[in-house]
Amino acid sequence: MHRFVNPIRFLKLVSAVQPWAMGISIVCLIAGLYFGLVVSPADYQQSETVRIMYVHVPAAWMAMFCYSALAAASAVGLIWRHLTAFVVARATAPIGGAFTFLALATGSLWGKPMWGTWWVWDARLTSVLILLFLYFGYMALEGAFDDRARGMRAAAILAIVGAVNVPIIKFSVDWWNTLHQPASVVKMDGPAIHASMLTPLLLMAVGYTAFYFWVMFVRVRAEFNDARIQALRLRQSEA
Amino acid sequence: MDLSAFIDMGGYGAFVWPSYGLSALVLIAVVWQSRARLKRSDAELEKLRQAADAQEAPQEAPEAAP
Repeated sequence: MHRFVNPIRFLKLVSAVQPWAMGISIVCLIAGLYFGLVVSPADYQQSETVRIMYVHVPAAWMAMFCYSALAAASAVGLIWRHLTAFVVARATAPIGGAFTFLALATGSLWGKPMWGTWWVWDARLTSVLILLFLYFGYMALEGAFDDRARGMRAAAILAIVGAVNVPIIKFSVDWWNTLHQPASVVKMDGPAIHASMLTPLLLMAVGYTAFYFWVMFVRVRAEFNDARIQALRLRQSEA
Repeated sequence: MDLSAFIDMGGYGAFVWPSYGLSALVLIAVVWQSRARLKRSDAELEKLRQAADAQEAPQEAPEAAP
């Protein structure tokens, strides 16, 4: 990993992988939409609302995946003082926040017809709402300092402390008696859903994951550009 | 495939379609904002580099002349 700490090498890698991530994302999302909306059957209990699963579950997975990436990058940035890691963390936060919002909003749209309520303060829903506030908190704190390095460090500490919430979300459905159902795809004895539903779900999940890397890479490049712009401006004002 | 049945989604169209629509809207907005930001910074960086080159060029010229 230390090879990619060099920003120039890292940027080269990012620029090379970015179009692939974009391609994989778009292809998988189109295929996922086709399988999810057209090919896959309605559920015998949930009828057509089960299709909400194909946008809800991948968004929820990505909400946690992005937060794990945010916390890990923050830890690397703090421990080894790698600016590149902080840049990845900064680029990740708004994407993870968007996925978390989508998980909550689509969950609400699924909850209304199936549970009879838009929202309930159960452990799963509440812990995911806290996740959304952690993303907001990270972004607000990170931009709240005049000294950018200080802001990044302060936000990184928040991100690491908030990582406690990730296992709480994961196991909330087992630890507490929630209205939200327990996991049915990621299980020790294999997924408990039929291949006709697993196919669109996994396609959407791969599409969302590739989407994260695509957009994160775009944002990382913009971050490095901004740093260069700042350096050039400083040099010009000194000249 | 019956289009009106597809749109109706077994009576749950009002929940299924907003889920997909909102997801598309948010993801497209994130891509759009991120790409716009990159483009803006690319253009800004190019402008600054050209300005820096233009500044350095006349300084080098008198040194090279004698």
